[in-house]
Amino acid sequence: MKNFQLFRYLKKWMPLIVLFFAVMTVFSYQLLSRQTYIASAVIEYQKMGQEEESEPTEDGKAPDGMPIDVTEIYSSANMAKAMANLGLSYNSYSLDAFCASIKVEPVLTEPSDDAKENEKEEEKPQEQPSAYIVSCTLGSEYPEGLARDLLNELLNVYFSDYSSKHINVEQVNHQTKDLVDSDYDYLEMVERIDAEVTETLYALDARYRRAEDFRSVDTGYSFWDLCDQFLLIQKIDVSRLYSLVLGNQLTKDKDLLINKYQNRIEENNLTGEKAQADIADALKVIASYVEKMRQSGNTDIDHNYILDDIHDDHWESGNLVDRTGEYDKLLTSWINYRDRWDESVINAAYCRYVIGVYRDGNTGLTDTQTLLGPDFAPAAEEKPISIVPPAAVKMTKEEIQEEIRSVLDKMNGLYDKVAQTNVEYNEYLGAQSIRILSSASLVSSINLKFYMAIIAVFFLLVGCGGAVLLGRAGDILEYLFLRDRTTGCMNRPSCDSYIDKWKEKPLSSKMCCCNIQITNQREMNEQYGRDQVDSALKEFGRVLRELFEDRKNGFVGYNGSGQFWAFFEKESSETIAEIQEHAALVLAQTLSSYSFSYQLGAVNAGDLEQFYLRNLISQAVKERKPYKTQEFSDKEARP
Amino acid sequence: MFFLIQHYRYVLLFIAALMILFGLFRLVRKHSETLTKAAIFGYHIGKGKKWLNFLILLALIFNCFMIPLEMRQSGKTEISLNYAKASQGLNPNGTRFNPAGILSEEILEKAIRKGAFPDLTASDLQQALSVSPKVQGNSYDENGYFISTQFVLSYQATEKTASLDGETLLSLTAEAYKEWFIQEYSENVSALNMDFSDIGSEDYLDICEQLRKKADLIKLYMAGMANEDPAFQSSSVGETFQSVSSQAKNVSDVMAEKLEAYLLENGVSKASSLYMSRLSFENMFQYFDAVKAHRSNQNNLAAISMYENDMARIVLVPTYDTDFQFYMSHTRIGIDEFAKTAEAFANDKTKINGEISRNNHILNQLSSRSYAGGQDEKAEELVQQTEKELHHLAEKARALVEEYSAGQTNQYITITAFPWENRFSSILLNILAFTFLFALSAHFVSFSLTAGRQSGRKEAGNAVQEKKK
Amino acid sequence: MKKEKKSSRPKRKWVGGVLVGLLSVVVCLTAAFGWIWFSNRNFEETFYTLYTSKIDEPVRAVLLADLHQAEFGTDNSELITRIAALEPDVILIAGDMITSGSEDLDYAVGLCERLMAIAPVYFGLGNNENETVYGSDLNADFFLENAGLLGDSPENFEPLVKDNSLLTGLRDAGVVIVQNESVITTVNGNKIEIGGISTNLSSFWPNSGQFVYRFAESDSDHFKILISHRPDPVMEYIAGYRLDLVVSGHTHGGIVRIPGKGGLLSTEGGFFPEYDAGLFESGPMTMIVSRGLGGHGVIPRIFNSPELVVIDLN
Repeated sequence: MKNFQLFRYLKKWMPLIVLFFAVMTVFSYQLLSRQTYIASAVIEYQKMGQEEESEPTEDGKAPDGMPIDVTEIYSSANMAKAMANLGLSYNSYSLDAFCASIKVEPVLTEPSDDAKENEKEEEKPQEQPSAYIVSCTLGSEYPEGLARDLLNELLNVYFSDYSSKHINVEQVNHQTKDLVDSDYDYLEMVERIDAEVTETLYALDARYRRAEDFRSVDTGYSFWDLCDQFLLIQKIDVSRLYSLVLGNQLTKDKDLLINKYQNRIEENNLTGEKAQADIADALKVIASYVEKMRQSGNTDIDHNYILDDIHDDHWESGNLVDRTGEYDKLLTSWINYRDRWDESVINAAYCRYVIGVYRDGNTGLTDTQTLLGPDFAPAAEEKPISIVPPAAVKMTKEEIQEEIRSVLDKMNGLYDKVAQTNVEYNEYLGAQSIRILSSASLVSSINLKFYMAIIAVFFLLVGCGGAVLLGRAGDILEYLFLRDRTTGCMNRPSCDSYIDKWKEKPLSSKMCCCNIQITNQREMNEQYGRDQVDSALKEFGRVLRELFEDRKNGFVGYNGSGQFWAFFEKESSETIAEIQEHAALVLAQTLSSYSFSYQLGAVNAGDLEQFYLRNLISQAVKERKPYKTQEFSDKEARP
Repeated sequence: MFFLIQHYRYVLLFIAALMILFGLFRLVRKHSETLTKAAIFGYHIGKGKKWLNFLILLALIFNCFMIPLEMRQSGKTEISLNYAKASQGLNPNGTRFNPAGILSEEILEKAIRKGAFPDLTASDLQQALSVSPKVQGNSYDENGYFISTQFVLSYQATEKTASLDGETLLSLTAEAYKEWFIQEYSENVSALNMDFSDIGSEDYLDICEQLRKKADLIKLYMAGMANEDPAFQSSSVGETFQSVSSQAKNVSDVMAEKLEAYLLENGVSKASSLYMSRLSFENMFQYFDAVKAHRSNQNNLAAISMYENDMARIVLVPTYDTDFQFYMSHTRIGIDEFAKTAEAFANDKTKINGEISRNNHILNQLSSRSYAGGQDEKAEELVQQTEKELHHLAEKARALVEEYSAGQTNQYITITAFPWENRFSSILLNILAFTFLFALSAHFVSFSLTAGRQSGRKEAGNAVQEKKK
Repeated sequence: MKKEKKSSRPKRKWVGGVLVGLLSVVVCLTAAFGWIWFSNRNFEETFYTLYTSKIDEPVRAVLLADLHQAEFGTDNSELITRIAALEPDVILIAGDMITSGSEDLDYAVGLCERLMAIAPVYFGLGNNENETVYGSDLNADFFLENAGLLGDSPENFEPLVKDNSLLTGLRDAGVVIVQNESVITTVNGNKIEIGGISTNLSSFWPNSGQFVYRFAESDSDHFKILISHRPDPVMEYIAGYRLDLVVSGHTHGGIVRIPGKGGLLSTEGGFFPEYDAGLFESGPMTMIVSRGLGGHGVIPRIFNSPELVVIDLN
């Protein structure tokens, strides 16, 4: 079998190695380039407070008591806003695909020892995570930085949204914009303005108290400034409107107005009656409760009658539970019913007053007892009141309407400022209540360059390894099926196959054919024995292979019966005679201990101008000369 | 052509790789150990290689043009945030900082306007620019959390921007963003604009109230600024925020009070019947509110009275007070809550009654004085004095805030440019390296082509010599 | 036969080597000159943004310096078009529009007329204009020679004028020439004062210093710009003065710029001029030195493209 020769295998299979390397590298690149980009940021929900006091939430609840719902981060409304802000149109990008690319995972930390202790004692429920990793994963079909930009924009939108849903929940509704052109009566308009301003004041005050340091850079106002402006409107403008409308008894339809207030009185009376009934019922329940408690001796308790090791758990399923005692609840209900009754009476009194203004022209407030009714006895310390407004400044309906319009214009301007300030306020609150722990970072899932480099080297090595395997396998197959075991040369079928392959092909001028025929093999067998002669033949074959097989188009075959064929291309500087001489010398050197007689004929296609193999073979046989292996034993063989 | 310029170095690398592979292929095919060794030692890079070396010179010249051209197709600029809240990922006004805003349409259009590039759109520019944090953290490792305050604005030319200078585009975009940022987050002093035109038609007492509110606005604004930086003193105005706030308080307490006192003592009103009518109606509505508050207060007190003695059981709880002194507290029961609510309503009632009393006082003053109505010279004078003082204070306040803001906001953002001149050594290195690579691969190909021939000729020569022997 | 072959082979080799060598030199020189020509054919724009509380509405100024009758497009059409596109509010010229000795004063006047159609032009004279108008650069020796003409007003150069045609032409075109004087103007609602000097290091103090001192120390509520053709006297004598902006030229960016290091050659002689190009700050004063748009020496601009400076005041 041929020796292991790495370069021979590589040389033989080089085109296949290159092809394999190129194809596999390109294929791998195509596979790996479908990588993904992952942008992620870490946020932490805070307990709502001033900035210096912010702490992470522990109960998993937003400031309004609702559980934190992280799916709001990637709600379609928020995503749509984020896409709009980034200028991503629905034609090119899918909202659902983006929503699906967002993932929110809690950052789970080991609970503190106190928390574990509390959990054990069941005083507090398990700590809920407050920090979350928000990630956005997009494939390589999108621009590389889009995942990070989308995540940043989405978080911005979400922070505002979180604030408006869970913190800044007070509504500031401006529904009186077009009040002047509506069908409301003048007094109703003023009442509606008054009510709206009151609600607005309440909301603005709550907003101010929530973040006293906040001043908008957009409008330059704080909520306190805006509160002050609305207060002035209420104090000056609204009360002026009341005085003008009531003082002039202005109305679009007097009868309708009076009917309306009459109806209100009746509604209040009904409310009052119901409240009275509720009060009576509450008193009965309270009395029964106390009576039974006394009868059963539960009121006669020792101050030391307290359970030591049993505590009432005020948490149920993570929610605080109201453990107020029943007696206190009953009394609270009684107070509420009383308040409701009082309010209904006072509201009815106001309505009577309004009716008095429009029906009798009586704008003063003197006989409050009559207004309030006989059931509403004033307390001893309540001072009687007497308000007699001076004669009203005369104004026409159109003038009043203009006054109302100018107040509304003032309010419209202020509400615009409130809305503008509120936008920034929501962003501010959102940023205060959700802290960024780590900015959005972007990583690609696969380091393409690095892996491609490794893959390229890997496939190159695999290719070379494959070539070596194939080459060696070829050698083995050749040895098993195409070589003569005795001599190690190609066997007879191989010779026939070789001659067959070349018989039609024109040969190059350098092609040579060498025929060696051992003439005394039988005698050698008898003299040395078959085994020895076989060994000698093996050497014979080895020498011939060394001389001729590695040459270009080299082939050395054993045709049986002591006949060898060698086909090869000679170098330009060599002559066929030199080759022949050299071969004989080497054979003599190698087989000096054997006395082989053989005939060797070597011809060259160019010399003889015979460019077909069969003819060349014939000529080689003709040119055979006799040699003996022991003839040149004293001469040095040429390299 | 644009593709070639943009990927010139990769094209060069590719060509060199092809040449080296070709050479390797040739060598391996003609492999013979003795042959290769002889060829390596016999190879001369100068002898017989003049045209090859001329080709290398051409490649060097070409690289001197193309590589700088290619490298100038990209660039970067750094934007650093320098205010305190940046390290929390916030804007100066406490809202969340969003780096995606650096490449918003508004900013890019501003940059294009500044640079006067009529054929460039914001979308074109956006495709050539990208923003990334200079250092980014690791969201999946608590020790790796990081909030970036430095961002790299990178430019990579596209076909639409290839004809423009990348450094100019970067600097215009960065400056446009800086301008926008300063404008967006500078203190807004529009609230300090004292416009008295809308209150001139009101009655004097209302004007007094308005002036007081305006003084309070300045006071509160300045107090807020003083909280932010108590030590700041204006070099132009020579005042601090606190001093201006105090002055505003004086206007409210002294000047406005003086005006009010004059008006009340003399019963001055432009339209007293309207004003009195208004106050009367205000009192009436206040009355109803006061009654409601009073009744609620009474209801709670009644509930306390109704509370049966034997139901009112408490347990004493030793604890600490807010001075960390021992204190005996107790468990709470219903009457604690009722008492608290009763007190709150009582306070409301007192407040309302106070307003009613005040209004009554004004009504008395206006009705008992014989003021004819209309404008009063003295009142006008006092109003104008107060308005003038408020104007002056507001200007001071504005100047203070603007000076403070200018000192702060101009430092909010620092832009660090990396002009191509600073990259010159890198460009030079690239030229030399790629030319060397080309030269190496060219000579390698030459070697692989000639190695066999040389060694073949040498061996043939040896064979001839031997034959002669 | 063999001997003949041996003698002819070295000769052919030598000729081939010389041919290749010559060809290499030609190619290198062509490439170098071609690159120099190409890089100086177009101008670059450099944008500076300065923030100041003295400006309420943004102002854009375009600075031209050291044109030396260069042409960008036919009749400077490319330059004019580009300046028009930039929409400046004011155009500042820091001198050396012409090269002294040239009789083509129409160049400067014609260009200024077209610039005036875009924005008001304020012209500070350079040494080349001085040589044309006064017959010499305004150095100490010149003033010494003409001390009699100056009399008690060393800063009033009117008596020294030899050829008024350039100044007249420019003034007729509507250009404001600032030579040891300043003018107050309103640009976009902002009050801005623009002054100019054209003396050099040797003559600065006696012949421009007082004006500059007054200019700097006067009312500082508005923005002040000084056009000084040379940057050296500014940084030598008035660094840190209460001048908001000084614009200069003259240095031509150092003619040959070494990337990463700066200009190599000084127009005053010497190497590595300190204020070659760019923005320099000294206290409240900012100085911008333009690399200029043209040149007039033997040595071409290398790594030193012509520069049009755009200054945005915010």
